[in-house]
Amino acid sequence: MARWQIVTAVVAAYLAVTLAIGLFAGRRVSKSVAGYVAADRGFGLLAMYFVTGATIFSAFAFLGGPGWAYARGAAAFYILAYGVLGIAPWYWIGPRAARLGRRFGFVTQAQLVVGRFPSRGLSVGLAAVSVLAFIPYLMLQMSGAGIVFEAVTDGHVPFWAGAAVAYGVVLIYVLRSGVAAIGWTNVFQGVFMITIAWTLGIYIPTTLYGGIGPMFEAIADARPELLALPGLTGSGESWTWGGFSSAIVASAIGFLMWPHLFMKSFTARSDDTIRRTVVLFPTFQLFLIPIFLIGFAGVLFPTAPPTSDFILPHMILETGLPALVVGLFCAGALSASMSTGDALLHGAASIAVEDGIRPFLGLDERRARLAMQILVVVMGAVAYYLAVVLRANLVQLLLAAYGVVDQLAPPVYAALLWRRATTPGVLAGLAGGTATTVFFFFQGHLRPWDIHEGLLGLVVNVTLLVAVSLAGASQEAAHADAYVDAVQPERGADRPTSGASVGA
Amino acid sequence: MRNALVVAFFVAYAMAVTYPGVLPFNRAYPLIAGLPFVLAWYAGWVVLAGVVLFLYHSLPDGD
Repeated sequence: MARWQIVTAVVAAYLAVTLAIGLFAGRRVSKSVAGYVAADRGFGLLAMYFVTGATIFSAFAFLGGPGWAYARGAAAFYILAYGVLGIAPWYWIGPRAARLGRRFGFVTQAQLVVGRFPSRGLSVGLAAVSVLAFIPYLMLQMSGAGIVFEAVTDGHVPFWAGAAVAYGVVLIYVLRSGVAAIGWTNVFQGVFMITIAWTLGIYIPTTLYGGIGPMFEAIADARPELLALPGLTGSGESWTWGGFSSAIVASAIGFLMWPHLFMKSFTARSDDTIRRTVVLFPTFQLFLIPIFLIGFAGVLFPTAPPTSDFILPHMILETGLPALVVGLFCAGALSASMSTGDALLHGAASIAVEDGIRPFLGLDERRARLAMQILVVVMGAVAYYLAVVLRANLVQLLLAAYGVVDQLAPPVYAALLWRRATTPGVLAGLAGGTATTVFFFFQGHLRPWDIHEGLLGLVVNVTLLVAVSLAGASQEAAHADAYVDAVQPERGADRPTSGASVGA
Repeated sequence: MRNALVVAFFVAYAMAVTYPGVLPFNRAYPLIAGLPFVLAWYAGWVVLAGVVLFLYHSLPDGD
């Protein structure tokens, strides 16, 4: 058997197991919308832990992450810094959102915001932003899968076929089992990607340099600038402190606001499941350490990859690892890609139907579920067409999305914490914040101290939200109380007072 | 009290990993478990946050 055939066989075995788990997972979930989108609110700790971790760490982990460490050095540490800061608020707001979900039947983030701040325009706007942000994100996952597959099989499995096979599997299990499939396949994929990352992260520096310490000593001698913050920019100049620090803060605020992640609040079996997931998340976050080690191992590697994102596949192929190991690496990279792609595909379709279509057309449960399944296929096809057939580069759109997603934080926190917030206030804040963010994204040189455009947008967003809310009539007390008092004062949930901080 | 402490911890965390709080720790040596000092600093905060959240979650309510 040729080398590429062994690699392909290992990857095929991984895909078969994933598919089997995905199909099996849906058997016990109801055929309702709550079943398809929120798994009947039945995820336990194991599923929540891995869904959260595996959804967050995408194809970026095996390609972009090492690429950052390799090309930009210490700049990459910002990714390690923000994750835990970003997820910590979920310990408090996740259970609140979940309780409102149980009471009012919410399955998406926009339903929660629009429930408190009624506006069909807001609902459609949030749906549109989500879908626009998800398509380029999904495209990156598909390209990642295709690129890795093609590289490790020496081109015997071409780019288009690798992406098609991996995402064919995703499509089948998401269609059939909805979020239940995402939960259980992500457990498998999460274990897989963590194991592969730690194995390669220790193996590669040890083989090439005789250990992790010796590797960093060598880098400190030859390229000391890579080990000093704030690291380098993509083009090799020194990054700014403002850029580095504000990237951490902006990413931490936006972290939970990604709709496909926030909506997992509604899948949890109990409040304690969400809290424990947050408590355990730092263990998943440390997975970035081996990812960085892999990237740093490339710094003094004798040959350079075609682009920095290719450093890991490049070293794997150049160091002549056994075919079995190469196959496992490929499966690990596919795991990372697919475990994010499935949540994006499912999230985009669910959000488009629940927030974009259902407020206007009274679809019954069966039709809504069918519409979601149709949209899963449509979105998958659109992303595949753009990524693989047109090879469109929409990374700019995705980068812009990070700042825009930050703008969802004030409405979400206001919905849960601030009685005096009003619908006009939220609309004004979102419009002003988003416009500011998009403006500074395209006019980056105008940003003061190189501050992230999402943070600049937040300043405008919060100011408008507070000013316009206070200027207008307040909401009916009973309505606002239903959201702000959604918490029985049980553990860790301090009762909020009116005027509690917004967008903190 | 418990809540104030945990909020204070996360504020301290944010300040310790951004400018200017991180400046005193921005160096490669000494290596900690083979990692550059500044990388170990970031990893240490992740671990510490896990410990703080675990204690917050498991200790009984009340000040």
